[in-house]
Amino acid sequence: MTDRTKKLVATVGIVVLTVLVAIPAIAGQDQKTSWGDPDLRGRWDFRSSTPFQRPERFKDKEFLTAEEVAEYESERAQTREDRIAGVNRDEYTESQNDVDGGYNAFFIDSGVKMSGTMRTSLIVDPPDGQLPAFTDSGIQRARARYATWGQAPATPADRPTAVRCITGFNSGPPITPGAYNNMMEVFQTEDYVAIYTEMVNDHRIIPLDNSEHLPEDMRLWKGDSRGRWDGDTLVVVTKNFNEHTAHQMTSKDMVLTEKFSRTEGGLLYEYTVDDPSSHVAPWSTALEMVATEDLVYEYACHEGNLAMMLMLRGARLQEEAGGGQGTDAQEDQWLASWYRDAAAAVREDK
Amino acid sequence: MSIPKTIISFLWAAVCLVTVTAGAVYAHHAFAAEFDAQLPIAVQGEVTRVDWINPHAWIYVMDENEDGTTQEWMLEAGTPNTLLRRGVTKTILTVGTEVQVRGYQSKDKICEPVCRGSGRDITFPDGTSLFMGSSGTGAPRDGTDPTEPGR
Repeated sequence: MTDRTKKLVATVGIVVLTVLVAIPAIAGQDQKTSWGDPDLRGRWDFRSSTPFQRPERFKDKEFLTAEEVAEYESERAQTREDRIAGVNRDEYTESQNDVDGGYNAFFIDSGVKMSGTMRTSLIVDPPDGQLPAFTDSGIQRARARYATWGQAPATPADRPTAVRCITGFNSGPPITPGAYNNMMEVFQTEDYVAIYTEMVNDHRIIPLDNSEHLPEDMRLWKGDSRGRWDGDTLVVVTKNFNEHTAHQMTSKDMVLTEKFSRTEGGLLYEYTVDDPSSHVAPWSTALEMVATEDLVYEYACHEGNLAMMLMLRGARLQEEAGGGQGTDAQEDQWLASWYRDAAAAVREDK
Repeated sequence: MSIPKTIISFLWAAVCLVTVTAGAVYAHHAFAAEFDAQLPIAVQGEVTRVDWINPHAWIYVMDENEDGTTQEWMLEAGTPNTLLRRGVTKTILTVGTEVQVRGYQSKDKICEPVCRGSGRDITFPDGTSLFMGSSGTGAPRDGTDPTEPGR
């Protein structure tokens, strides 16, 4: 065997070994890696119908019984079945709500099942399941963001980062259940954990070496994540977000602490948002992800984002028609309908 | 092209229930930023092309007008990832398939080289939905079916 052949064989061997170590076939098969750390590797489905904040119907109720979970999921399933079955399919509301929700139900993949935590909301702290109040600066920031998103965009920068395909609306950090692409894959070595989410092909490579965070002046779209093991729980602290970070209207100074720990067949994902300039108190959520054999598909969002072109052309057409004077009904339709209640809550006259 | 006139809110109520109970299911973008609620469309004809691209698939349909002329439309659909998970592939939604699509025209109203719109509902002329069916035949994989893989 020549030296060149030996090097080739050695290289191939290292690559194969690395792949075998880093990627198990199915999430949840083993609880420990060969090197003794908790094994988080594999693909995880984070769809959930558990409400983000506790709804009125579950007031003063932190957990549901198995029967109550089944009833809730049945309601959700029926609602979707009705829509898929074409209840009033022939009718149109001709309103922004109808246009915004204009996906065929077939395309919505947010799931029916509640989180395995059996909680009445993803928010677990404060105990009432509600987001803490905004601070004054939080209100100002939210008001400014909604104002920008609520008007015809001069450039792509005037649209939310998810619309620009820079960040995913559910890929985080932190990771939150959304309308579709609720898939995460974890890769793991002794020194790093890599989190890959299907939404916008996002990935984070998280060092586990107790290294310092980046200097304060280095700001990243997804922040700077550093991890460590706390017993059987992976703790990831992310800082250094930029000014466009907008998870529940947080600021660039948000400190996000995520915890990943194995459950029986699942992965408990908890996170705490600490951002004193946005909310009057830190708040936390909990969600149990489910091991899945589903594949993670490519989602190259920016690649064919014709929507941005149509939005900008529509905005220019509106300007040519004399828009911007508060006379065009279309002017009031730039803010997504799902932001309207939140935007109304921070209006100046509130 | 015919334009439905009846205005009701039941469908939107159903959408709201789905979204609100999930605690706000955000999508990639709000279609109202791209399409005009005052311009509902109903397109019927053969599929001429399908762009299986991210973030949204686009289905091209040659609409047959009442005066015998034709107008091609490209209609924005959902993410191709979800389509793939549902089992809808290039071999199912093929060129030549007859469909009816209802949605809304783009705000720019430009029809060169083709008109653009949202594909809110996609059905066959006999009234059956392109995407209807039970688990395993293209229906949503929602976790309620114990035979689903990976759940």
